[in-house]
Amino acid sequence: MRLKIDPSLCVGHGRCYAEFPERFADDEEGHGTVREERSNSSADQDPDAVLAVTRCPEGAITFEE
Amino acid sequence: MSSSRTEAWEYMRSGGEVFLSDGIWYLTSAEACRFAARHPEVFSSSLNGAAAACPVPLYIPNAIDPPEHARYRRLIDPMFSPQAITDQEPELRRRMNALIDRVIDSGRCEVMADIAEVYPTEVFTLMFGLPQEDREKLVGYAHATMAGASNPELGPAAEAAGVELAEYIKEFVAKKRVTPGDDIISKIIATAGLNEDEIIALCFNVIQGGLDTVTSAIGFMMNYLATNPAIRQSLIEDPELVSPFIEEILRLESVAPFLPRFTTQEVEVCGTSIPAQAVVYIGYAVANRDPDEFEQPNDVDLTQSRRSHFGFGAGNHRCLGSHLARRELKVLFEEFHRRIPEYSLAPGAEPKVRWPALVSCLDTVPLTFTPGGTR
Repeated sequence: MRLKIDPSLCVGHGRCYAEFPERFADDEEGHGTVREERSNSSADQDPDAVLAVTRCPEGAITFEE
Repeated sequence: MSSSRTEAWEYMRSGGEVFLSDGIWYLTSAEACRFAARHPEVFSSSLNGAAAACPVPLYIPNAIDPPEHARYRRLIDPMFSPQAITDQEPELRRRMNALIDRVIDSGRCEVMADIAEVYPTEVFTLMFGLPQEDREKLVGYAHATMAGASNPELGPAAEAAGVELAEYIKEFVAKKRVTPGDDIISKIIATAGLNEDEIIALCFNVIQGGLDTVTSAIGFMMNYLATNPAIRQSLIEDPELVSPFIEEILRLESVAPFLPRFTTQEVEVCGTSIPAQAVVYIGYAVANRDPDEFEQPNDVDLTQSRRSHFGFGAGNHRCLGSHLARRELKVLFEEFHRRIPEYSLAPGAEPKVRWPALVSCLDTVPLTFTPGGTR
């Protein structure tokens, strides 16, 4: 599974990289980028990824196959 | 802690997750609040500008709905990003130390007047490139324009102040067009696609959103630390706990307790039907005490990591200034305790929350300590 950020939805709230700096980085505009594309785990095994998805104020992050 | 707030929020929760009272629908559970925050197309913010006494018919981004809302946030969020704030941090520290310099030898500090009401405005004038000597005038405008929302008798005075504030902003926009600086107004002006009304609306919103809220959080934080010396000591000894502590203060004290919306259609929330054209208050302060969400809902709990709360709201309107607010509080914590690690509330002091108000805030937090700040 991997984390993805939809750039058309991201406006740069910055929660993802502020709260999960190991998984996300900021670009020059303050928009989120995913550090590592692929995770070997499922949603059950990667609670941080699931949290990041639910916490994005714009719903721009997905964690999917 | 916060016994009066705990009682108030528990009383609200006892009305139910979703209930109607005096013509207003209150959402009190985490689930109900999250639902409303995630559906701005149903829970519209477009009437929020009326309470702001802003003379232009816009209030950006607080009173803007999708799809325009995202456009505005995309323009301004970078100016308030964690990196943008980090760039300002040396100046934030310098100014905090200057405020501490003024009180440290006296052995007394009234947190609200000496720090809380001053610091956020200094930071604001710094970031917006406004003169420091205009700080008190700005605070006056901010208070006057917002006063009409909780007290209709002050409406005319609020409107007059709104006109003056708009003129003040226009004057600086004109100056910055000629001589741009490294500040947010200059950046906003340089941003393609914002007209003068939009710039004024944006400045109004940021002024009204960023001053009283941080002032309030500072007061609550220092009041808590003054009355809980054991926790204060453990935070000084383990700096890793400071950020989680700040989050807990923001959760427990919820400086913006209720955010208004109105429904564009009939909607079911947690099993209760709310009609269209209804006024809804998203009760983030009550959601922040939801026992289904938080193990120890009414106490500071530093053991929960990665904890999420509603102190900055939720959804697309989530606070633009969250990174700045956190940094201001962190810098205050670090610099104050580096120089004045021991203090207590002055004898006989009884800080109280002024209510009703849009922003929940203590009236006074008088501290005493050894002059010079030594133990």
